Amino acid sequence: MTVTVGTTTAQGRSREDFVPDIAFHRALQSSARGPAAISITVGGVRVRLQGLSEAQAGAVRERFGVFCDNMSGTPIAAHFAIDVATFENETFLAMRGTPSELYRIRIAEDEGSTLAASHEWSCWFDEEAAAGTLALAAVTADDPKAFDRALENFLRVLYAHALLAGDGFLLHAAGLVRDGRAYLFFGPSGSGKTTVTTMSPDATVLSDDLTLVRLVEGEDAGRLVCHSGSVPFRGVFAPRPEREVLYPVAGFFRLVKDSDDYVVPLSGARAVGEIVSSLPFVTERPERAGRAIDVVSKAVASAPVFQLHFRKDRTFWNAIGEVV
Amino acid sequence: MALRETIPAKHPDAAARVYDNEAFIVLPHKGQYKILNGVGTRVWDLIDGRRSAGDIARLIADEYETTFETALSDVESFLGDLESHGMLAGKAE
Repeated sequence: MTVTVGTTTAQGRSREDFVPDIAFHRALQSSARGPAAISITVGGVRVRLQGLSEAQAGAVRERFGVFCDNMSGTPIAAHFAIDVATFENETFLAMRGTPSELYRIRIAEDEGSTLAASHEWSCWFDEEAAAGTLALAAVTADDPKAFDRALENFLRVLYAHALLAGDGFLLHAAGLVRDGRAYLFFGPSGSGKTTVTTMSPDATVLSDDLTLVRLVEGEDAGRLVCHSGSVPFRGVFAPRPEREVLYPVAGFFRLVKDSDDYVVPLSGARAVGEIVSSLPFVTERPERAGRAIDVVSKAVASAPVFQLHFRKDRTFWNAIGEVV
Repeated sequence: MALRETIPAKHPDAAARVYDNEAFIVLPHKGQYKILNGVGTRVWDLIDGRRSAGDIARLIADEYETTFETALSDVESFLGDLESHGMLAGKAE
């Protein structure tokens, strides 16, 4: 069964979203596809994209660089096989054509697996089977930017879900490294992630958009230590990483624009709540939300959380220096 | 039916955890998050789909050494707040 939801364009013409179901994606698995395959590894989760054309595989290698090589030695916790195919539809979710339209992604759960759709792509993946399909709209065949955009957004959704199983998560955060430690500045759009990034020229930028957080076993047996690293989808200001490195997290900082610089320690429900509200995608589904809270709780037990009030001046680092 | 006789139930999709007597609740699909103080957390804990608002108020009055009327007023107000955030089952969202 295929679900359709009516939408209306700015011009008033009715168009429909096309959100494929599992049956659609299963049928896609047996369709004719390209001969190439390439793997991407982030935070110990490897995703093998198979059925690509040679040109698509080359574009993925160029775009994702070091993440195609897994030279970090990070143990592989999960290994997804994703069948990629181009579908004849021009779009899945209709483009409404309004200047202020946001990039829409719809996520649903069906039979314990995840279905997601956006304008130029639709996917299904099952975490237990570590398998899935990615259907690309026809426009991606001729438009490299559309292919790049579709693949990146699919991977954002997949990794946001898959990392949780290995005690990791993606966080809407600017990740900045100083003296070998990662400082994670998080908050909703407009809270100042890009601002703190541009005001920290001496820091190594992991990301000014999405940052990987991962709990790894410390030297004391059984003690989890919070680490952070770069991801392939890292925003505008982060340089392309030449190697995949995880840094111990010095602290999480919820950004609040203010006229003065100071920090307020957060703990318990408030600390967990602030971070959970900055996780992409995973709290939209009941069966994932509890897992997301539990993983964030472990991170909060391992690294301090603060509210950082800051002004548009790099003196905010002085306030941070007083607490971590 | 009087408000005190209504039997509240948690929304089945709500995910909640308690830290130091404060509950953090996520309601998927709606993007709603809520942090409850100690009394709110205790009320949340007592919502089991069997106790009425009056039953909960009676327990709260005993535990927090206040009058039943005061506890009932607070519990009804709190349940109304949870209801308005879609965190109770079968309530208007």
